[in-house]
Amino acid sequence: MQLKSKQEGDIEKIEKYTSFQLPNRFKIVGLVLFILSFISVPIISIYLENDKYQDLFERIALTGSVLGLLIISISKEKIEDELIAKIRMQSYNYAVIGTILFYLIIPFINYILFFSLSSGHKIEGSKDVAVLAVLLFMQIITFRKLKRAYNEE
Amino acid sequence: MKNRLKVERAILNITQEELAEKIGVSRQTINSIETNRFVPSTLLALKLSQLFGKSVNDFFELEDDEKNGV
Repeated sequence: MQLKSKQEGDIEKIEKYTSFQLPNRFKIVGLVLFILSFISVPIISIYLENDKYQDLFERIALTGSVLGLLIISISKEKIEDELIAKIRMQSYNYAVIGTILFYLIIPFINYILFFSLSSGHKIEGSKDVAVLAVLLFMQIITFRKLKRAYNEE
Repeated sequence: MKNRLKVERAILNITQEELAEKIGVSRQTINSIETNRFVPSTLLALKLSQLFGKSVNDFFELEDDEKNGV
């Protein structure tokens, strides 16, 4: 038996992650989870106001809503073919670039808008910048890895 | 890329839906190939070739401006 090269291993590993999909019926599961979590955020902030667990439950609800969206995102279409694969890839591409530009620009717009109203305004969203950097690091490293792996003789 | 998918489908007298089912894709995929919005993979082209009993070149053709360097 021939030993697999590191490059082939890299392609296989990344394909294993990117090809992981849930069955089509999970779209409904994701939608229900998203709606329930989303509407429970304001409910928690009203009923658990000043409770020591308020932050925790709010965070659980927010996590649930994002998990719901993630489940929708990675659930299969009824017929999963190469056109759908292309559309999926295009939509991820658009989402990543769009989100990065949006979150980079919005704090500055906010700052300019509020600066004219109050002088002591702080610029927000510093943590977002770190998330955006992680996202792009991951993309660039994966891109380089795959490019090298596909080019292997 | 030009294609004669619609003509080949008419020869076999099958709908987009039926063709889609035979080669394991969705009706939207067949529609988007016919309307030149989507270029299928070689794998899919060969499946169509097998079904039509014709060479891929008989129903897919490069446009004139795509023939550069050929």
